[in-house]
Amino acid sequence: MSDKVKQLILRVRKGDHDAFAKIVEFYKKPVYNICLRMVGIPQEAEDLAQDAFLRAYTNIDRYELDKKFSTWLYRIATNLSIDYLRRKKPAAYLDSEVPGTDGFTMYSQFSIDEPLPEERVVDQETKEWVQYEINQLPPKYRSAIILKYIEDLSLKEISEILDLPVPTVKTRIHRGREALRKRMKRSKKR
Amino acid sequence: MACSDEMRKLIGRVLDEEASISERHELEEHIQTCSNCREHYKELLSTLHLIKNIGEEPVPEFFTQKVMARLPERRVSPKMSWFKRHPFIVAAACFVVLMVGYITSLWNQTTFQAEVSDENQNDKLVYSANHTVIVPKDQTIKGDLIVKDGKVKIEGRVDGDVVLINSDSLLASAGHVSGHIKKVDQILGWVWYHIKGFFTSVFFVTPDFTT
Ligand SMILES: [Zn+2]
Repeated sequence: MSDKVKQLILRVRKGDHDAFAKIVEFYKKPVYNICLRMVGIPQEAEDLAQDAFLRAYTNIDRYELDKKFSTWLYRIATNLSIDYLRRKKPAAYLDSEVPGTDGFTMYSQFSIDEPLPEERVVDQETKEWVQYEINQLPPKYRSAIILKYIEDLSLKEISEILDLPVPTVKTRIHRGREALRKRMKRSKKR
Repeated sequence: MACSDEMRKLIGRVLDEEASISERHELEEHIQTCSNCREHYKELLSTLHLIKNIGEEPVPEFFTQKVMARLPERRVSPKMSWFKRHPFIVAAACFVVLMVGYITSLWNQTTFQAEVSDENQNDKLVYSANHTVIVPKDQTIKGDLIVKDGKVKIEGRVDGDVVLINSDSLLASAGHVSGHIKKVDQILGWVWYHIKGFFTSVFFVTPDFTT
C-alpha cells in the first residue's frame, strides 16, 4: 500500500476528518461503481457506497496497516451490496424491463477473426442491457464477475475481498461468465 | 459432443490467460474445424468484451460532502481526546487551579484577620485598637492561632502554634504557647501553611513540608 494512504489512515485514527475526506475522494469511484454494478440502481448504489465509507470510518482501528487498503474497503462495499440484494431480493429488479436494445446488433458485431477493439466505446443502451444481464446473475457469481472484469482485480485480491479460496473464486468466475454467455446469447436471438 | 468437456476447459484456460502457447494453438486449430467450440468461444469472448467495456459511471455530485456530513461523532476532536487520554494530568491541573484560586482569595480577603483553626475557639479572642488581637490572661486557645496583617498579644495560653502573617507578636510574660511561633512574611510561606492544612484535611496526612 502506498505510504500516502497509510499516512492518511494514521491521521484518520487520530480523529482527522480532512484526512478521511481525502480517502473518500481517492476511492469513491471504484467503491461507487462496485456498488452500482452489484445492485444496478444508481440511487441505491450511492447509499451503499456512502454506507461503505461510514463503516470504514467507524472500523478504521480494525484495518490492518500491512494489508492493502482497497481490498479491505472493497470488501466492505461488496458485503453491503450482497446484504442489500438479500434483503431486497424480490423488489429490486423483478419489475425492471429488459432494456430496449436489440442485443443482436451488438453481439454480432464481433467476429472471431478480428481482434477485439479495446477502446471501443459502448453506448448507453448497450450498457443498460449489459447491466440488466448482470442483474440476473446470482449475487455470488455477480460479485466475482464484477471484481474480475469490471474492476480488473487479481484472483488473489478477489479471494481476499470475498473471503474465499482462489479456486472457488475461479469457479464462480467461470460459472458466472458461462451464465452470462447463455443469457446474452438468448437475448441475441430474440 | 465428445470434444466439449475437454475443450471447455481449454477455452477456460485461454480466457483466464493461463494457457501455454501450444495450448492456444491447439484451440485455434480446433475451432477451425469445430463450429460448436468456435461459437462457444466467440460468445464468451463477446460477453467478456461487453462486460469489460461497460465502463465506470461518474460518482454522483457532492458524494464526499454527503459522506462527511454523515460521519458519526465517535471521534472527538484531537484536543478532547488528549484530555481523555490523560485524566490524571487533567485532574491534577484542575486541583492546582482550584487551590491557587482558593488560597489567593483567602490572601486577598481582608487585611487584618485573626482566627483559630478550631472555629469554636474564635470568641475567646479579644480585639483592641491598632489591629491587635489579645488572648486574655484567663483563656486557653485550643488550636492554632493565625493572625494576618496585625498584632497579637498573648496573655493567656495557646495550646498550638501561633502563625503570624505580616504580623508581630507581643508575648506577655505570663503568656504561653505550647507549639511554635511561626512568622510568615511572604505569600509563598503562607501558601505552604495552607497547603499543609489542605492536605491534612483532605488526605489525613501531613506532608513533610519545611516552612
Ligand atoms: Zn469442438
